[in-house]
Amino acid sequence: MLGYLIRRILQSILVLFCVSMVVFAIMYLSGDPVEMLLPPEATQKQVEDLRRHLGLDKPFHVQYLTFLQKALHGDLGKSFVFNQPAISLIVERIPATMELAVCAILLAVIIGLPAGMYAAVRPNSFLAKSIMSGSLLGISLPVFWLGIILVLVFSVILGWLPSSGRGETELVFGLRLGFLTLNGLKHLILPSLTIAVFQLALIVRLVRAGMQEVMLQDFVKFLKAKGLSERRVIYIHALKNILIPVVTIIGLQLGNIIAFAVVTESIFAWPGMGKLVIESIHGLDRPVVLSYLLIVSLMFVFLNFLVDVIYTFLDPRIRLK
Amino acid sequence: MTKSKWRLLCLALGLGLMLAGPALVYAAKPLVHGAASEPRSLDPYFHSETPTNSMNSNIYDGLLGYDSELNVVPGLADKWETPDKLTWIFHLRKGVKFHDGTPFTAEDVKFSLERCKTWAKSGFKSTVNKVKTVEVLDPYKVKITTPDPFGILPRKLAQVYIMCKAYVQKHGDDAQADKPNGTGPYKLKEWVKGDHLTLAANEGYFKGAPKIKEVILRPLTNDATRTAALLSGEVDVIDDVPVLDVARIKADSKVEVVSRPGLRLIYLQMDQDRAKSPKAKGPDGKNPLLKVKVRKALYYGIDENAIVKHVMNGVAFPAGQFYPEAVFGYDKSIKRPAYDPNKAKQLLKEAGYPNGFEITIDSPNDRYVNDAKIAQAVGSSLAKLGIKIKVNAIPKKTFFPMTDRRESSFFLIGWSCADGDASAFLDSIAHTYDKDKGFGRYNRGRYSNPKADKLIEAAGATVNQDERLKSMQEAQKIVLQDQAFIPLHFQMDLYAKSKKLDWKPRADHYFWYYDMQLK
Repeated sequence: MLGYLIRRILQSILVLFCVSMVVFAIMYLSGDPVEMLLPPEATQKQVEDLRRHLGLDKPFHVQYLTFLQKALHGDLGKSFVFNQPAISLIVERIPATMELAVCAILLAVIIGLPAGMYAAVRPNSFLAKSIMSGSLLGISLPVFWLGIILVLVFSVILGWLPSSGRGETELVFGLRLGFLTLNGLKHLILPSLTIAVFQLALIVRLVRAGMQEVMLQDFVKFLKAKGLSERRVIYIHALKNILIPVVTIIGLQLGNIIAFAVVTESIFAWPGMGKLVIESIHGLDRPVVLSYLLIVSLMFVFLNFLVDVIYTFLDPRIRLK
Repeated sequence: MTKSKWRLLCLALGLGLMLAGPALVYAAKPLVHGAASEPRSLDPYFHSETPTNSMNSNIYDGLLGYDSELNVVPGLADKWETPDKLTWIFHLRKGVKFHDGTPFTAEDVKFSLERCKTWAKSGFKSTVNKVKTVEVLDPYKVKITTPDPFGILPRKLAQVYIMCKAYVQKHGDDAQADKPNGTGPYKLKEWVKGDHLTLAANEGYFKGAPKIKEVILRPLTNDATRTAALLSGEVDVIDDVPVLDVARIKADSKVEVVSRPGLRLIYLQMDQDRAKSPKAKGPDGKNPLLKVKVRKALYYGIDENAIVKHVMNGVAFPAGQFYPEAVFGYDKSIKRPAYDPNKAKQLLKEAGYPNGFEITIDSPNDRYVNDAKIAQAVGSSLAKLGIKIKVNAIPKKTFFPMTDRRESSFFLIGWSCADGDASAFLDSIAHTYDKDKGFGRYNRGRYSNPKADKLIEAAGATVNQDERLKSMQEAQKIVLQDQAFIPLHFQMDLYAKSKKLDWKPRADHYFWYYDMQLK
């Protein structure tokens, strides 16, 4: 276990290093932010002064080494656009994105797991058929379209739910959380539903396929022969055997939602990281983009580690080596 | 409207108070502004861009200010005089207090102007670069000197908001970004970045307490979201209404669209100081844009009315000069000549290009309204003259550095005289490029005419406003005669608002909530 941990940590450091170099190079090549930071009336001298002040007049390797040196001391630089530490800009927005992602995944799992199992156990029932065709729809609907339609129906026409924003939030241990107030919960419904639909459909299909396969295996017949109730066979023994691929997908998808909820965040004006990073890419705000991608890579590494740990609980034969 | 309200009511009854509670309780309603962009910083010298300056105009005041038509009006200074051409004396208002209670005095003015000029991150250095010294004569009198006569100083000072010396020194530069302390009609209550910024009325404002007591700005950067929020009644006013949504908003009886001519000109620049140009080549291999007749032919040969009608959906108006009527320097006598392809062909023939030439028009595709489509429309107009034209539309972050390196021969670009004075265009674009004197940074076709330069410099050095106007109009005439640039159109600013909101848009696209009233 200890050896595994050490290896995992060394791997993550390597990943972070590579990410930082690639992103730095791409941002360096995409253009000069100074042109966009200053008003058009600025004089040429003012432009050059600012470029020097931000250290953008130096050659690539000098800029990168300066960045690395500071990064090792925990300083990822100040945003060019907001003049605030890049890392705090991002950390400020993590709770919003997390809340959205966790809520969406919960919705997807709570609905998707039983629905998929039902569709596998009673494949010929009307409900199972509707679940399966619904899941096909869920996988193919584009997120931006779905989001806009939900807003049109539930906010503009019916007026039941707010169309955008996060609503009231409460500070809990310095984190701004929305799901604790009624108003915040109402704001959370539409965006998390928009994200959840695809994940839900994915889980339904995955669970159904796994379940169908497991139900044909010998141990299921054996359990039934032993006299266990069908419910016990399905919900305890069969379920445990299909969870490994499901946990893998949930882990990966959670990472994906957190990192790439951009579309949903911008449709619902959700103040998460995705919106910040898209705006920063447009503004060539290198410190913010870099810090964001470093954080996201770190998160992926961590989620993968978590998934590995969960495997060992689900299947005792698996060991972390 | 009644239908959806009924449904809401039914649902509320059905589900109990859970959903109805917050919807039915209204305290004094705040004004909610759905903004297309969020301000970047509340430090008034950090970034000069419209959404930021607009927000800061509510929190701070300048020595002088602008009214909604961009005329200079008194601000923290109630009068000023110019004993000689290099000296300006400003008399400050008495009894004004910053939001934290500190009284406003001449020391704050001196401190602010100097910080604006010297702070390494200041985005307003060019605004005050002609301020040589600031001297405190008494607590309510300030003397400002300029190195040479500088008639536009009042307009420049109207853009510089006054900060509190004691507060900035105590809390440092970085704190100013989200903890502002100004004298303006509103104080910052809360700013959750990306979600909302709340302002509370400054009851002690020196022009009287604001009518709207609370303002919430919500950044809704997605066009469809902004429209939906207005239609569902969550916000009272939105800016940059997407052209496609205008019909939908007009169909709703609770809201209305308001528009006004904006300041932004969309125009074309041409490479005109090199015999060989990177992307323009006549049959002889030379740069055809050097000839006035060719440039005039391009002007006559572009069907601008068609662009306004089909590309801009009527939300623009054709430009015959470089700034709209709200700008000081506008010349009523200049009209745009009608589209005349025959005359254009004739001019090309006279210039020695009866069969046209090869050229590429460069354009950004994410900077101005429909920028790439406008470039395509220009391309198809000019192709009819026999010019072999290619359209190259690229992202702004590549486009602007490319024109700066002069790798373009013919390109579409925009400009707005944000301070309401023609000198912004004349100094930065029409004057010969001169890095040391700070002229012509955006003159990327390198147009140069010493006669125009002389008039532009004279206008800059004149304190008498009538004489300035004359010099600037004369200069523009010369530039238009040379056809140094091709004006296309001015954009219209589009807003939509609840009919309960009483407000008229400003020329500078600022939201000054002090002017607004909710019925």
